[in-house]
Amino acid sequence: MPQAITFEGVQGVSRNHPIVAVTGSSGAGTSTVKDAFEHVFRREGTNAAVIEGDSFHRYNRAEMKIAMAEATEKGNLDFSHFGPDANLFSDIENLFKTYGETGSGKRRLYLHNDEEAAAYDGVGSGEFTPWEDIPEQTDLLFYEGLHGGVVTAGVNVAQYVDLKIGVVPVINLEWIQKIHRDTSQRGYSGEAVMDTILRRMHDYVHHIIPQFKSSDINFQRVPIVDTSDPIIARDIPTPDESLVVIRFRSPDDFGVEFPYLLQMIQNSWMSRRNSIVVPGGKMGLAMELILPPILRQLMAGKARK
Amino acid sequence: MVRDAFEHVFRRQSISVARVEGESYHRFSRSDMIDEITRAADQGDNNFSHFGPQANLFNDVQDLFKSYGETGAGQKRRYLHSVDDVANYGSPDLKPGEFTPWEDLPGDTDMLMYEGLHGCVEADGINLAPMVDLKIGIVPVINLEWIQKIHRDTSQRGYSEDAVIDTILRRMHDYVHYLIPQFRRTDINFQTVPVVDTSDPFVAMDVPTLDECVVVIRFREPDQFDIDFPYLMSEIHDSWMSRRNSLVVPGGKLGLAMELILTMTLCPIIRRSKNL
Repeated sequence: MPQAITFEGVQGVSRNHPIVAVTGSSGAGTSTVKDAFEHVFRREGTNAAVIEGDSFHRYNRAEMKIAMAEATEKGNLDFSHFGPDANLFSDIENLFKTYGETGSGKRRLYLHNDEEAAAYDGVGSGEFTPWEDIPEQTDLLFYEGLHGGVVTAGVNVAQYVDLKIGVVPVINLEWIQKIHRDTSQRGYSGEAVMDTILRRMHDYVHHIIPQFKSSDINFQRVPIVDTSDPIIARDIPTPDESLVVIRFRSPDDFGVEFPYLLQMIQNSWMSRRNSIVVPGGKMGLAMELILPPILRQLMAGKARK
Repeated sequence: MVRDAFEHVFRRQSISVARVEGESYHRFSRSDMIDEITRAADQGDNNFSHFGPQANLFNDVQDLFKSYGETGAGQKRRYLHSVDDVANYGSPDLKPGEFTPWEDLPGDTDMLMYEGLHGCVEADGINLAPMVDLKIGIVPVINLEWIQKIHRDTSQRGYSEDAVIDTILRRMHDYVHYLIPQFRRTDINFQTVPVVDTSDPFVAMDVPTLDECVVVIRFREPDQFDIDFPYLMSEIHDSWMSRRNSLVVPGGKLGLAMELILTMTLCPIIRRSKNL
């Protein structure tokens, strides 16, 4: 059997209780990533403690509206879900630290809609469930959200993560997706969505984007249809209308064998020494080829302890 | 690249052209602009930028397009970027960042070519697009545009990275409201799409080379210009269709694609105007 990836040693900090963080905004392909991880976890028999990034919002939906109105009144037009004022960054840091040391920690859920809220008594849509212990005896912690590698003046989440994965659209594509979703599903006007996008730009540039420079692997979906005016792009580019750029910060750390990947993924090619381009529809396949050996390595490091 | 492709087509087809640069329609010289940005910021306007109507003479561009379209005449000036520009222009009174005096366009030209940020702008009662016969958009994806700006401003112009990021954020409002909407009015868009990681534009060490990009070429209405896609695909190696009106070509083929497409679209326009 061909060996895709050999193990030189993931530079982890919490090997006994490894932490995997997928950082990216919804729509960028995070659902593809989540599916791929689920497949891999199931196949490998990995028992993961799943943490959703939006459970670390500082405010519930109603509180957020008030906080935003207050910020606006004080002349702060940059208040957004992307930044430190609206998130519990230090709680993420604490969780990662605690889990890495002991395999335990607290988590909660943010309930997005009535459907999700139906299962919980006394907690409505847009609210949080109470904090509770994460299950015992999990193999690893799997974080999925916007801030898995965030570093601010006082908080450094990135240092506790063993495997950092970025799922990053190019900005035009992210805008198209947000505009499409908010106007068609949530009934906002194009103007209103654009205002939100502009309001978030400051936090986006200062808190979201810098995380991707420290990712171990970035997956970036690149549309190959015209996205020059995100507001009028009628359709979100389909996977067939995009390419995915996969960049390994240092391929040697993971022993990535590009020739093997190139062989397995039809129509893929190298664009830089550490970057492989695959057709958009092959993103899931690429992840399922790339991830298992790396996860096995994380688990092996754990077994040695 | 774009300019070269146009030059080749103009030369080969013997088209004589009156050229106008978008920057010459800035409202303010470089030093005045700095004062204006400060003044706007003092008044709480953090969005004052070169992209918007306050900093540009949109009205004058409209007048030029109108008068050239009707009579083939009009006025232009130049914005002098650098010491070199000043030396080439040969006026000792002018400094870099200033404008030359207005002067008449050359006589007897076949067409006017505007190259700048606002060729199809719509703002404050101005609407340029209907006056333009061939509207071409050159549109990088935003991540790439940021990389290019950061690279140029820090390495060639000596700005700090923080200062460049501030400028980018300050301009976002005008960018979204005045620049981006133009690309829905253009006839042909060329969009350069990097196939290397641009997720953090602020640390990308190198601007992606053309070989590290593909170019998406979109025709608003392919029928309007009789665009022959099979011909283009046979001429441009490794090109493919991504939508019914969109062609993808390897980055290195951008020049070839432009020359083929410009010849295809410009020649009928020039022929028609000469027959009038």
